Amino acid sequence: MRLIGGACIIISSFFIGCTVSRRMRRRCESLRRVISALEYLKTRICVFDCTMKRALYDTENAYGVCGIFSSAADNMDRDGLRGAWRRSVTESGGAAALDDGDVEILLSVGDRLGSTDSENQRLNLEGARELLKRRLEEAEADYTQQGRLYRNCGLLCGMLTALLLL
Amino acid sequence: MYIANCEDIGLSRAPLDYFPSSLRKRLEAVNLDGAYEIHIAADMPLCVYFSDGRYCLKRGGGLTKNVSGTVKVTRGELEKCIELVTGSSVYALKDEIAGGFITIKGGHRVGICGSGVIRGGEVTFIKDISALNFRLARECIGASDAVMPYIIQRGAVRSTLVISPPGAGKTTMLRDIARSLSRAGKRVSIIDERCEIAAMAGGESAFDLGVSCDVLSGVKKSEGMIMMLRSMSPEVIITDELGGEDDVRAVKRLLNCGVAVIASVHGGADGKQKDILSCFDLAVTLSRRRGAGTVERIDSL
Repeated sequence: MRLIGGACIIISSFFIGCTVSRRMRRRCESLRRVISALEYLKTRICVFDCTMKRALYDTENAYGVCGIFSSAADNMDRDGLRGAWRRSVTESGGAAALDDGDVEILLSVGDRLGSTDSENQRLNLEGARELLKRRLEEAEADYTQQGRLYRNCGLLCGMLTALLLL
Repeated sequence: MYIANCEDIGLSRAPLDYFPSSLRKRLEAVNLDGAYEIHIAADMPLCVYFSDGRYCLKRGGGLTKNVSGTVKVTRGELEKCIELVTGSSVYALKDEIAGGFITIKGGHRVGICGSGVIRGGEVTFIKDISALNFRLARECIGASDAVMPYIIQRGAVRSTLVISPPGAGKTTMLRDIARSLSRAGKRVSIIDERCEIAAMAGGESAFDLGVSCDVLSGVKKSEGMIMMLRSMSPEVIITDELGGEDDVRAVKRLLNCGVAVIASVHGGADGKQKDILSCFDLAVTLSRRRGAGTVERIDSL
């Protein structure tokens, strides 16, 4: 029974370490998808002149990130585009493993989405992409440096705890 | 004289979808049959226009001709309406907004009033929008029944000009003529510069245009007529509101190629549009004397 308990402690601790590491990796993946999605959205708006609802649905189909774009499209008639975007990003940002800074950048996109001409739409989306690219670089560096560290720490802490208790 | 008492398909619910919920609920509670315009302006009563005059929404429900005690449209409601009409896609509708109106689902035209933004001597945008005017489109199956025997004679289609003042039903008439000709087996092409005749959305028309009717939307009339002549082999081309010399030149070219043209032009019951009239075989004059669609005269030219 003690061995089983010890094994459970080690596995749990290792699992926690892996979860943190995985969340860092997921954040990197989500940021990459969001950056690609914003580029696609820009193309739909500025090149194809799609209406906003259609552009959002198309973007979700191409680069869906936890339904951020489709949810905004679903609710824009009821809540207005700004409100729908805000709600969508706030609700889905966590599921996509985005941190508060990433969410703030995406929220700022919604403030000018659809309310200006093509050129300003382009600038708005490109500006957000640049900021998110920098955050992606930082996130990738963090994951490279700390991802394995968290996994190993989890394992070691679990082993230490198990040893102390046993 | 013939009054187009036709099978009125009626007002679709589509225009009410473009109002904010606070106004939509009030409009849904009143009978809008026969309404041809809904006008909203910030801090003004919401007005609905029928053939017998202007009515305003009462605070307690219903419509009244008296403006006191009526629902006033707030600035926020107007802005929400603008957002719904543009679909939060101002960038995609810049040309339409500069033209002063947007055509929404169902073929209804939303006129925009505000401050013009002038660049290079041309209106490029309208800002500080102060009012919207929803001009409600109706499909009127049978509106052209009285004129079709004059348009098709001995199997051939006569080029016809529909002369009408604003709001007398010329677009509705053209739409029904297109449907009737298409049903009679004629190959019809519609040049729908302002997306009112066919009201195409997503490649589909909001109206019944028959099976052999092709629509080119959003293209300048004079250019569109030549494009369709080259590409779609029409027997008849239909377009709305002929205006300048380019339009007349295009019409003459079509006639030289053996294509019949059915078009409309602004004018009173006795309007004279000599340059344009000379291109056509038949003139149908409409008025609002006994309601929109009243056919005052049919003249062979």
